[in-house]
Amino acid sequence: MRWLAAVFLLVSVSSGVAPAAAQDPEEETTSAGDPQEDRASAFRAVRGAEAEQVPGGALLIGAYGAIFVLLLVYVWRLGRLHAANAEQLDGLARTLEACREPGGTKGEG
Amino acid sequence: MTTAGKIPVSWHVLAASTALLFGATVYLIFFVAPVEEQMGVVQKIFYFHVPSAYAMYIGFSVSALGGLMYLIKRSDRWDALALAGAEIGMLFCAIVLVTGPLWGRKAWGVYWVWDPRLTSTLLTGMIYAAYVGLRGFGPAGEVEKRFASALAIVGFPMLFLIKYSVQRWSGQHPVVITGRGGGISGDMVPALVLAFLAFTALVAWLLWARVRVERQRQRIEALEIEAAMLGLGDES
Repeated sequence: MRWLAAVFLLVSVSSGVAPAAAQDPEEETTSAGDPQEDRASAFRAVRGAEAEQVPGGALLIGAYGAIFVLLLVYVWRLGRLHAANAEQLDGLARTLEACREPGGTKGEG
Repeated sequence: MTTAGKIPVSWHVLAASTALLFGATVYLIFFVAPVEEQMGVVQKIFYFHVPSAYAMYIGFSVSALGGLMYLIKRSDRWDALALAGAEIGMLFCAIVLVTGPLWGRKAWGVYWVWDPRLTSTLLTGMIYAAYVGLRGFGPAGEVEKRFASALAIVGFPMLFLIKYSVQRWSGQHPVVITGRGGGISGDMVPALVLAFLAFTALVAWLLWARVRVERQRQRIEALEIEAAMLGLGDES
């Protein structure tokens, strides 16, 4: 789980870079009819032709890519841990079973 | 006897159901749900961001429950559950903290603002990161397990802080699907509902798998002690 803790810390540290840019005093003066205010309280389907001034496709791909990479890496790690533990458990169980049989290797290890 | 244990059929069924639900969710998000009027395609991050936050809540709550029960009963089963919950909660917290800023870059013009909800989510993640770090950097004795359990319990009230921070201190984070928000377009609802179902199945499957792995590790420790008592040494 060290990798996840490292990713988390990386996100935490990198997130400290942007806040200064976010403290724009003009943004605090949003009113009820402001599009920015509407955006924070409702999502509505687009009407007419789709038009974006700032393309968000890369951000969308980045977000879904990050989600699937994180999930797949975690599942892969779980699978590896499970397989390694199962192998170790089988080995230990076999050794102990042999030891318990009459004429086993008890005390010889 | 094989101690590795066979994986139950129900585990495979849950895994297959989760995969199917995710496939259907992705289809609905990208081919059925409409593009949002003001934000455009980047709003589609919302369909995985919000259920990830919900999965994070489940993970951390399970961790707190496991920690509390471990302190009461001192049973390794509860410790395994607490560890699994913290790890999986952290996984989804990382997803929330990665996808949120990517959405914010388009919506706010910056990746991060010290909004109450963002800040409280970050702080909660740090508490459970401490838990995972504590348990991840070496074998856990009784003291480590108890301290980690206390951390999981301390982190739990932060979940309420995340939820109610927007109501108490306002902030810029959207409140679309709460009572205060204007709601979402009807065409967006099926994708969101299915995403919640997919993440519920995923978090249940991951918890099951992680608890199973931790129980295996506990069994290994017990057998190693037994082997040592029989004088078999490290080579066993």
